[in-house]
Amino acid sequence: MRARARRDPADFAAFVHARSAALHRAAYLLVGERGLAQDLVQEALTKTYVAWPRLRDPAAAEAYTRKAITTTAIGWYRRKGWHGERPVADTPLSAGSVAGDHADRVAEQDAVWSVVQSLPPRQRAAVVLRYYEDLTEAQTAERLGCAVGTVKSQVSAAMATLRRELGDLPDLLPAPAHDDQVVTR
Amino acid sequence: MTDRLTSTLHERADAEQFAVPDVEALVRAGDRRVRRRRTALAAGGAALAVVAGVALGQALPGRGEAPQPAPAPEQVDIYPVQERDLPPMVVVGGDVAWVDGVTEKLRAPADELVRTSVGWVYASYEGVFSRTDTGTRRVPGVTGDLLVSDEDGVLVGVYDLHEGGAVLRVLDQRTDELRVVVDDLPEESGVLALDGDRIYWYDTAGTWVQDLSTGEREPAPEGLSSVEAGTIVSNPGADQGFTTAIETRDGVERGLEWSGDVGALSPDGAWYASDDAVGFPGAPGAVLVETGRRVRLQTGTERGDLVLINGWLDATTLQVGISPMAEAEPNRLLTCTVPDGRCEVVLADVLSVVPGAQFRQFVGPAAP
Repeated sequence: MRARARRDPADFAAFVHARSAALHRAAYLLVGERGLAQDLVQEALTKTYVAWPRLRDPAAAEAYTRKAITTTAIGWYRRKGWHGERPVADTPLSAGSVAGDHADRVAEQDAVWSVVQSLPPRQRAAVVLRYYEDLTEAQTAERLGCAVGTVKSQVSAAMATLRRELGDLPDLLPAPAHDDQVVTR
Repeated sequence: MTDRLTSTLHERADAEQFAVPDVEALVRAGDRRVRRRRTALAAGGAALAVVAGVALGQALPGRGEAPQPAPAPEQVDIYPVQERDLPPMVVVGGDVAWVDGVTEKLRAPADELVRTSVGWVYASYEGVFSRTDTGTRRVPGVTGDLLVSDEDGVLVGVYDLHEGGAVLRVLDQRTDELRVVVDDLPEESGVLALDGDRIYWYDTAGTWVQDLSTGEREPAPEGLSSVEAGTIVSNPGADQGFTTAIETRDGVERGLEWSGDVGALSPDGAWYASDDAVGFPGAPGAVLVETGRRVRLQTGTERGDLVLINGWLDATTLQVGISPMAEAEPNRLLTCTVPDGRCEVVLADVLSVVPGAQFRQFVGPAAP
């Protein structure tokens, strides 16, 4: 007789306590709102709990949850019917700004953050996965459920927007790595 | 040197502090989802019962107004089975809304909502509530893990899971009487449908129909999809191909080439509509049970759009929810009629009917 799969709430609770902070931070970058990030993580963790019997180890559980966060966020945006790019209300930097003091540095971060948040959902997700979670293009493609070429084009478009909105800030963007040459067409 | 994009992302993320989620609430939500999935797998109609109930309208007189005195019990037939005339309605988080702009606040966002001829019943994290013309009342002592109803009657099946088992009760929404139907169900069980005075449920031994008047029970078809006025639609299983079995109230059995494993019978059992019909791949359609005649529902949807047959508003009108694949397009609500298959958009943007609605709360016709 085949045993029915079991969900152990104690193991799941241990996972949630250990990893929820990191998961929340990633979710926050995807959606840019605390409340929304909390809802997103709760939804992803609920999905993880449902899938718990086949995840077996914490690493698999975390990978599953992070993927659920990404796909759920994109799905939410789709259902809400958000229109691609949101307007950037203000880009508080001139091209010649120098991060010489704290105020300038804060202003720079505000500007970068504002533009990141204005990106369309898939572009924003690709940027967060590549430059916050430090995933490779292949890993990012797997997380987003798309082709590597799509990741390249999404990141490329995002970088173009960042450059257009922020000008020639030194060290704005990461240097291309061997596997992430920016697509320029 | 770290680039500014990467450092900004890290510093923004690190600046936010989040509390550990309520694990017990997550486990409860997960368990509920597992049960729903189990139910849907056991019988395709189970999920429909929930979704259709959520989305269907309720013709409450004076909706959105102060509750009216209760009608005398004898004025209501407890088991009407074939008539309804309901306006389209959706649930958006903690609100119900009609297409004319009238809305009503629920006590809490609904996880499930079913309607009857005298109101509706919903389950939420605050409990189970019954709404009729006399107001909203908490249904004590139940959690409503699954709800089913006959939209033409006054009864609601309330299925509650507890440690190691489950209980199936029936609520008479007119009198508030709550009585136990089965109190020793195993954990792997569920309620499927309610039709007049007959309730359909399953356990590890099979699928059953129980007469609520006599308590007698007998085997019911596996893969139950929809029951109305004694007509039963079931999907025998994948090995049977695209065949839907239909058993009419007079005992006639038919096998129709019709794929819809999630669908709804019209109030009189004459039509069966589903979201994915053989002959119209990926498109919704309806079939006339008596003859097998098919009608394509002209929803104007494109491949990839999510189409949900919410249920029947009257004998010939369906409520259909559309969630477009295109990100920029809002969810819309349609009504479609048979036999002409014509559809009309009655809500171009479902979320627009509830001011301040949060899209993540949406549990209406395009619920995931």
